[in-house]
Amino acid sequence: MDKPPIEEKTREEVEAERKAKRAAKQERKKAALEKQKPDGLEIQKKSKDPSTESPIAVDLVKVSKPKPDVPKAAPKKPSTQKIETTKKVIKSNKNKENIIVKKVEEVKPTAKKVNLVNLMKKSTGPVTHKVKLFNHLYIDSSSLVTENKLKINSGRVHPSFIKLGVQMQTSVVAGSNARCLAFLYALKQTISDFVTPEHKNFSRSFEEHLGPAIDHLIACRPFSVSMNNAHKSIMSHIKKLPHNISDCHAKEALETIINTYIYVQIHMAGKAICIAAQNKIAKGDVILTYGYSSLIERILTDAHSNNKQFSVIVVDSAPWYEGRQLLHRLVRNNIHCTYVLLSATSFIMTRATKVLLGAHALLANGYVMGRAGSSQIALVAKHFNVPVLVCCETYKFTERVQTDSIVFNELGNENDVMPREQWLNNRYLTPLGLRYDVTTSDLITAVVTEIAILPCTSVPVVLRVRPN
Amino acid sequence: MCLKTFAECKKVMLDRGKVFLKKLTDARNKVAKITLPFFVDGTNILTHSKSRVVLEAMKLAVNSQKRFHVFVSESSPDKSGVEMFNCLKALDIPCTLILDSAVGYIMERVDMVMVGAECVVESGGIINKIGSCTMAICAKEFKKPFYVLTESYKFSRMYPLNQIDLPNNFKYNGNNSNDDNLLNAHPSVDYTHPSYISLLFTDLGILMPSAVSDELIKLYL
Repeated sequence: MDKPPIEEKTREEVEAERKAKRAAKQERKKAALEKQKPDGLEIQKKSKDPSTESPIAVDLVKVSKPKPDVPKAAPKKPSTQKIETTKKVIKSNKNKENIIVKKVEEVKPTAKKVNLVNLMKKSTGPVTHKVKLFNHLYIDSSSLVTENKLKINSGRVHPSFIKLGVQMQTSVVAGSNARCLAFLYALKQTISDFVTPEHKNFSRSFEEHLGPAIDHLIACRPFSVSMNNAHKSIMSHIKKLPHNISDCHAKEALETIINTYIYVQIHMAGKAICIAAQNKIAKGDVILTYGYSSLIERILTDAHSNNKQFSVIVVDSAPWYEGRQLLHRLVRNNIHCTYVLLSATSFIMTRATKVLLGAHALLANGYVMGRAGSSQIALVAKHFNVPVLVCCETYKFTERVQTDSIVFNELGNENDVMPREQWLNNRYLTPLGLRYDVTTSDLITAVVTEIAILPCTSVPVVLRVRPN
Repeated sequence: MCLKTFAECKKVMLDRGKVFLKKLTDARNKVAKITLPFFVDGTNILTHSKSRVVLEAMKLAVNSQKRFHVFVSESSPDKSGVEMFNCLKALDIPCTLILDSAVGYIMERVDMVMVGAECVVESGGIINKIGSCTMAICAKEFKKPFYVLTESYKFSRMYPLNQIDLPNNFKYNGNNSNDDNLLNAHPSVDYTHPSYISLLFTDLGILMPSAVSDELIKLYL
């Protein structure tokens, strides 16, 4: 491009270099962004007639054609060199906006080259739509599939875990409690089918045996906090088993440990929360709830069977419409229900007298991680002075601290948010389906746990007091 | 513990009772002592109803040559504020009796609010003589600190969500609890949300409202 400015580079070197480095960073980011574009355009080209294409796309193909047999590592070097030259351009040029335009123009072809060669390696993969802010949450699905196939075929993953993996991936098993229970049942089956290799001790070889299964499960869907806690607790028990224990005894011991965990941490805790929450349901209350939580369902149906007089407002939202499940079950139990969507929250909140929410996890700073949309509900409830009760067993408490929903979250399937064909070939459109959000502690009136009804700032105390 | 006779058992119980009683009376002095640095010369303090802890703290402060002025609200319907006023006068503490409805009027002149509590609940909020909540909200709006002086044995494992959620036997005395709808009955206590409370002075130390639940968990788990 602009050649003459390069000769002027004998300026104050240090300052310029700094600038250049900054610019180069931007450059790389841009190049990364560009990566997606050519892919999309290629596909467009294949499917449509060339008249509708942008000139860049045509360019791309032209560039790619003469260089199909470039060695794999080679294309990277020229690109970095190019960036170097752009650095020099930047050094000399004061007008930043101009620079950026030039940079983009310069980098485009190099990035394209790299990409297209990569593309040829991979053959034509699907277009990657990613929201930049949530880049860290995306999982590379194509490599995952092959990896999973390898794992499954290796016979190192117990069939119960393979089954559970599929169920979780397809959201057949969803919800914090259900996932934890399913995980524990799968674990029980694995334990009962496990045979200790000769001359090895049970706990160590079982840990080794379980490793790939856990990895497989995490690859299918990241662990929920409840599963993590359960896993940690069971593993600590396994580690404590005596060295010379026989398979039979170890299995028996572990089975009782898992059974007690399920009974105490999930079932009995749920029961205690039911009782505590029911005491807070007064005659004539209108209880607003959001989405589906097995615990909330249990509380409401129990309260109804105990002749409490109340009605329920079920708030629901796209894309999963989990509230319908709750609605269906409540109506079947003859509970008066109103069903609205999240967009009507502020309107319906004036009629509610209490808000009951389920939770995915409680964080150590007292924040509540729940189904995406819960924080909106809590915010509106706070505005209307409606007390917000979060129902959560203590096994979902975690030491993690989080103040926003970006750092750690889970992405749902984009196809649920929007039909695939609407966004797949549109490079300007990226759907984003976040599963969770984080509610600040000042929006929550109280947390109902099996220990007591607590303010959510007491989470660290409970964590400290809790055994293990 | 193995006890042989009933007399022995009785003695043990009585001794324990005395120990407990001593702890309780000491608690009040402890609270008064830790509150002392908060009485700065020339401060105006607003208080509500009659509280023996607050009185004890003020007594200690005035005995330590602190100069301050106290505004006492009348605290209807039982006029316990008048009683407090008389007690303060007897201690030679400069004080003014104000109407309950004058809380908003006087708030701009006071430097802090100091009240006792009938009960401190799990959330860190307090249950106290009716009118405390009004005073707390008013203090919050005027950015005046709202201090609660209380002994730690008043900590209770209950969690009211709002005023309606308070148990009826707290709010109403025996005379009108037979009233079916309780619409015409005047509640005698109200619940003050922890967000309106600046600090709690207890014999365990000076606590933030959120620390109450920590203490309760420690006590019961």
